Amino acid sequence: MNAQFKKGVLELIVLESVRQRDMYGYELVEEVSKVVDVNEGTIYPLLKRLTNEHYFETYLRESTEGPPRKYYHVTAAGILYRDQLEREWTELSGRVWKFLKQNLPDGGS
Amino acid sequence: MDKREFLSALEQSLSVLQEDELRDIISEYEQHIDIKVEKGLTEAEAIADFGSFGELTAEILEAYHVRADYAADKGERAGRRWGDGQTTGWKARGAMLWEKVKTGGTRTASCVRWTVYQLFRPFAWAWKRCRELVRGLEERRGKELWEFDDSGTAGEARGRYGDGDLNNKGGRDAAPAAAKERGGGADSDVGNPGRSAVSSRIDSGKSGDMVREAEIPENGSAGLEVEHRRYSGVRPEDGVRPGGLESGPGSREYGEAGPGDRNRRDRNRGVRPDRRGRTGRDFRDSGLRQRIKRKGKRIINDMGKGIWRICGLCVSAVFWTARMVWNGCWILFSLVVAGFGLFSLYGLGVLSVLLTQGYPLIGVTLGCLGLVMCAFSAAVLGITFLRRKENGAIKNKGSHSRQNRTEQKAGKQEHKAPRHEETGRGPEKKRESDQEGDRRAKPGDQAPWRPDREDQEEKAGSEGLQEREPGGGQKDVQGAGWEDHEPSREHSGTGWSGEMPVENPGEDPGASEERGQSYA
Repeated sequence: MNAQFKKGVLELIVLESVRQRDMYGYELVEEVSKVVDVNEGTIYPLLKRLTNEHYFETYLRESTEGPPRKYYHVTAAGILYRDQLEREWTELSGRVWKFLKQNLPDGGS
Repeated sequence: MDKREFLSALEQSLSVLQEDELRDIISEYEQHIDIKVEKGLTEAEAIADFGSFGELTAEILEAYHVRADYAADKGERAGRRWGDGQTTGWKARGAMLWEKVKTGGTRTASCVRWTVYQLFRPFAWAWKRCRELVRGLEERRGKELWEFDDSGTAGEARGRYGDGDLNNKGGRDAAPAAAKERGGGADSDVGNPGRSAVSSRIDSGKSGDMVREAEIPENGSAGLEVEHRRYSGVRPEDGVRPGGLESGPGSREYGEAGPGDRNRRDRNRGVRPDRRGRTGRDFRDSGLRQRIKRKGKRIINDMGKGIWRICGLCVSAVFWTARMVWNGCWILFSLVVAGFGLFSLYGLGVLSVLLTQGYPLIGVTLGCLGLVMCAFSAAVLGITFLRRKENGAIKNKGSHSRQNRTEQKAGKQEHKAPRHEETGRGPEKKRESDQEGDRRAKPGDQAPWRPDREDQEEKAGSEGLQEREPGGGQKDVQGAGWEDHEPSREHSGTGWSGEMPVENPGEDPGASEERGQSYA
């Protein structure tokens, strides 16, 4: 898949995933990997950027499997940003799909 | 690459970030690798899943809005500076800190330098101006331009000193004779008609001024340079005794008139007795020293006046401060008491209401009423203690200022009115005459006579002022010490017809007047 496509929707996928439930880094990488195949190294920078922009909050939770893990929690600003991204994605995908439909041999003019 | 190497490299690449952020990132990646290792992967495989190391660090730095190449350059520079070939976090930070310290130190030094320059700039300007003034005075003192006019055997020399007058008929200069005596010869070029020379004063003494004259050549050739001593009243035919001129036959003493001495009075006018006949010029010709002395006296006088004014200002400031403190304390007291009075008034109101409702509070109410009245009275009393500066108040009792005189006249006008009416001279006329006297009575060595004069007027009034002349002449008025003040009246111009005092009976009145002007 085109890396630029994946890069464009990665934020939306991450925001949606964390909105559903709080996750830590590795768990979120696994969740995103189910949707798109992205480089694991790019998730953490994205998480750091969204945290710096106050879309995410972090907290430590004790773990029985090792040291405490840092969990990410979406903020109200993050939810608004996620909704905005969803609208833009829907609008863009609809237009692109409509454009492609027009130019199809069976449906085009 | 194992986990330790990966994390170390990651830490170095992200050294531009803050310590806590860096620790947070490293811990996350470390935890991720540990989880993957627990899942069964090796460290290398887990690290390989991160992708390109460069892209990884670039994306992390991009999340902090930091340029990836900046971090790389900074690390390289730090590594080169420290000479270890590697960029370590703390070394890079130390290098950055040192850069900042250096920059800050340079700016601080420049700021300090500028501040010091601005502080000492006025002093430097003043010092420069003083040096220019002194240099200018020295140049004026040294430069002379002489034009020699060979008329007669004596070779009367008319000199111009600085920008002085060419037509000074001062002391005759024996330069040609002296040059002859010293071996300059009669054929000396100095003193020939039409030649000009520049002379500079080398030394000055009782016998005259030692000058060096350099002839100004007309055709561009080198001029003759002669040193000689100038002295007054000496002519070649009088004979010159080298080395001692004060007792020589040609020297001029005060009061003596020698042959051919045409304008003794002109020459000696304005010259101190101990200096007459001794210098080579008359007073106006060689007056630079006198001018310098006069200027020095004037400067000292001005400085004294300035210091006196400063002292006066300081005293005024002290009195003003004391007055302000006094007023402030009383204002504060009044405000506090007035506030208490207002509070008491409020209480009085409450008590009055309760009293009207039937409560037995009449005593308390009356007491509160008294308290209110006392409080407001105290506040008003505090206000009355404020000190204000009176308009036109007499500051100095002995001053001759017009304002003080006006105030004094206004204050004494009532009991003086009958006397003025008898003489026909109104207070305005008298005030004008007094003011004229104030304007013209400037000599510093004369004692202030105005207060005494007023006392004399009162005494004269009691003895009858009808004897006064309408024009203001008061010579017929008998009063104790009245004649003592007559000399000052000569300057007042009020119509005094008395004779002017003469300091030296043998002198002309004009000489003393001009001398007085010169001394002033």
